[in-house]
Amino acid sequence: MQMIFLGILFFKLLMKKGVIMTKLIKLFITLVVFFMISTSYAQNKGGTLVVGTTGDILNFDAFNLAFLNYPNLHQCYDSLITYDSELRILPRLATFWRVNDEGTELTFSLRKGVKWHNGREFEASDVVKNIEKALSPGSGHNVHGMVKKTMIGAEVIDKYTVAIKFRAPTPNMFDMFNAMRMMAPESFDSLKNKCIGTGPFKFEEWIPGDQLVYVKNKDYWQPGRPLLDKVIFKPFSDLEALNSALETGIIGAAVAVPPKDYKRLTDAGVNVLFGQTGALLYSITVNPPDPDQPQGPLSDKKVRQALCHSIDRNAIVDQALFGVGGPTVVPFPTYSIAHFTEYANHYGFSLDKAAKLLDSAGWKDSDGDGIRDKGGKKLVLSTITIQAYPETTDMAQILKSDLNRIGVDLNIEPLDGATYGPRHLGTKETNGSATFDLDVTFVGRQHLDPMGLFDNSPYRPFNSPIFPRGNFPDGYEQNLEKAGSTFDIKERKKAFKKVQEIMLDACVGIPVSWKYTLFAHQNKVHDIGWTVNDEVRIENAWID
Amino acid sequence: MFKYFLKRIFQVIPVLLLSSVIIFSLIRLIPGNPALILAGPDPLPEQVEAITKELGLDKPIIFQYFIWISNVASGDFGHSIINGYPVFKLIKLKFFATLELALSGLIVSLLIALPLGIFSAIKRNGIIEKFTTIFVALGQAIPTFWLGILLVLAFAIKLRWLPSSGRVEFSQNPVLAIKFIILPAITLGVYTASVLTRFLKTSILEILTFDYVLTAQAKGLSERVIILKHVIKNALIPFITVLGLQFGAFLGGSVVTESIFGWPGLGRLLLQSIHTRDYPVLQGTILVIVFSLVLLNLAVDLIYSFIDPKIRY
Repeated sequence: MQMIFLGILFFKLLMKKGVIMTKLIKLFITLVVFFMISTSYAQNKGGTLVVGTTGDILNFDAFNLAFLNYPNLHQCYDSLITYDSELRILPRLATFWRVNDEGTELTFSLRKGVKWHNGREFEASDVVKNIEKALSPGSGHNVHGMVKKTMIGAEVIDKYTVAIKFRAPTPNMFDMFNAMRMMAPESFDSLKNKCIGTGPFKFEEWIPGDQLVYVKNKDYWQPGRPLLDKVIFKPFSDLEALNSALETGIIGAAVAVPPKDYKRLTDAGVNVLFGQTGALLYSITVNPPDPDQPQGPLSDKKVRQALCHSIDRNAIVDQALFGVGGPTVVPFPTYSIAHFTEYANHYGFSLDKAAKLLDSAGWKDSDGDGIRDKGGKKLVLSTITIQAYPETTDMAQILKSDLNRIGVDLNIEPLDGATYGPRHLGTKETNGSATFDLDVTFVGRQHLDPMGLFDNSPYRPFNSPIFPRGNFPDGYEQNLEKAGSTFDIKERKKAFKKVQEIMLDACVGIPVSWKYTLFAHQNKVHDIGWTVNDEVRIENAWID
Repeated sequence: MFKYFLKRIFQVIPVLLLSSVIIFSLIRLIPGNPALILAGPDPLPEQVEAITKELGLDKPIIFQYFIWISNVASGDFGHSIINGYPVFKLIKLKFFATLELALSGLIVSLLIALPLGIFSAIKRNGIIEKFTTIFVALGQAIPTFWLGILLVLAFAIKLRWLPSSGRVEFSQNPVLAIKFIILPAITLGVYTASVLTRFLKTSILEILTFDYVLTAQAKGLSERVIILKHVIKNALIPFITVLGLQFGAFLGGSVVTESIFGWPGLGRLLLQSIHTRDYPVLQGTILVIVFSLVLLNLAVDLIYSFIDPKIRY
């Protein structure tokens, strides 16, 4: 209609003569261009977006922060607060919050009129029940590890106000509530195969291994959102099939595309975007024998430091991660309060230094077979890697080749998820001790409050599978305790600096590269987003 | 015949019972713990312990076996440890997708193997035989995953004629359903077609040397009648045995094809439940596959008697 109107106007003007004519033609062209641009950028409402994933979700428990569950988290659920990419706290289900002077109590004022997907109103008692679930070892999953040391419980102040109490000042309390999605308490017993949340999309159907279907939540608290009518998540057990589906338009978007396919997809005209820098970190965990086990090469700090010098991060990023990474010696990104530039180049890649350290530790190639030995034992190590993330095995291959050059042999064991877990974490039978020499893995949440690295990773100061007898290096636990129990930035920085000094010296965790989550989408799909933890957000997405 | 049928059906019971013991013990021998998957990454020991207890995995294995087998005997396959779905419902959902793919693969195999096998045997040293020899060699040498990827590259990515992955049910849209099944069916069918072609050709060549074929020729019967009435019919008996075995393999072993084409069948269910150590699903699926194979063998035996009236049970 607008085009017709503009056409008539233009025609009428043509009938007139004079200088004004040229100006009007320019105005007309400007209007047409503006109209075309504004129409082409208008957000279309409705439609169905099919999103490919690299594996099926495990279940709908929002406290299970397995990478596979990420697609579900922000569609069905909401958190009380969230972070933007600059780590500023933004309101979600809570509109206001206050921390008491001691830093031991956090009070949230809840958004009024928010409804669960079953129509019931969201209220303070629901938050309390979620916190109780998080505090229970059997049901708290990963959130339990975050809250177990500090959180005492929660209390309803009124229908829309809830107070959460902590044992001590807890500087990372907002990280907990960013990660903790609110689930309807009446759904706790059925979280294995359905969800009731307050998120932008409502659960419709899940056929395990085939598809997970969400429909628009018409009562969503955020006006005008979501834009899509339906989102379907389709798991692909074959990554090649995922890429082909994206290239041929079977799916409109994909989450966690493998780094090796980045170039192929961009060459095919698919948009591939990088998630939050620093959200995930590829690292190698080194497991020294426990004090009650026979001592081996990794008991010697010099051998571990030799390993730290043997990591060719640039080669790993280029060859194993196909350029989709960023080498790093420290686990905290530049925007973290625990990032110290003086440590950023602490362990450069130097096989000469590594060889000298091994020499000084007494490991020499006495029989000339190319492998160092000491006391009749060969310097042979083994590393576990994660089958589902083939780049971890590629990283181990590069390390193996470099270690071979300095007389160390490395056996690589790629393991599937269920086998990897007991080896990586230890079991009752191993008295909680991990069973590997090296573990090429990745960790997350260290980019928010640095304490995130120490609640659910092997570096945690409690139930650590690499220090199961509590035999941490001197000062490690004390400094972590200090850093995790004060709001004083200076004090915290000092403590984190000390912790990193200890970690670098002990060489039990070797950061390698940032792990970028790749979000891919076709040109017709717009505004796919992600949280600071790289959980996909679809509520703003729309299709041409 | 009916007596024979009943006898065979009763024989299924000990076979299934023995299979259940083997399946259960072998699965439990695989290292790994589903509680670790359920607890999420890097759980604490007390969390793993609580979930292990909740799942009943802390009980002695023999005890777990008797609980499972007694439930199965009453028709209850249990629930998935990971997603809580009734195992039987999951298997039912996936079984028909696999059956659809297996039948399509079989049709592709037969469409290739029957003409190639017959013509390469009766038209010796011709172009068909040469082509058949090359096809048989390539068909058996090309790995399924490679063929699948090549087909996707050619027909889905380059030519854009067919979809690269997924499944549409026939009841929803038959035309689209056929489009989706063409590539996986060819991928699955080519290897079997090469096996069947070779088998059929050899069978026919062997039968062509039999006395009764010479007698028929001496009687002046036309080549067409001899081939159709006397040769092919007899060559079909060993052919059907191989066909039955191959179909059984399709039902239980199309994991690769299902993965490449995102086909939501039993193969992918099996793979997924191995990864997550979802014991009830894994046990139930394998048991159903074993049962299908036993039934398939019985069906093949019964078909013999229809083809060759001399065979009586």
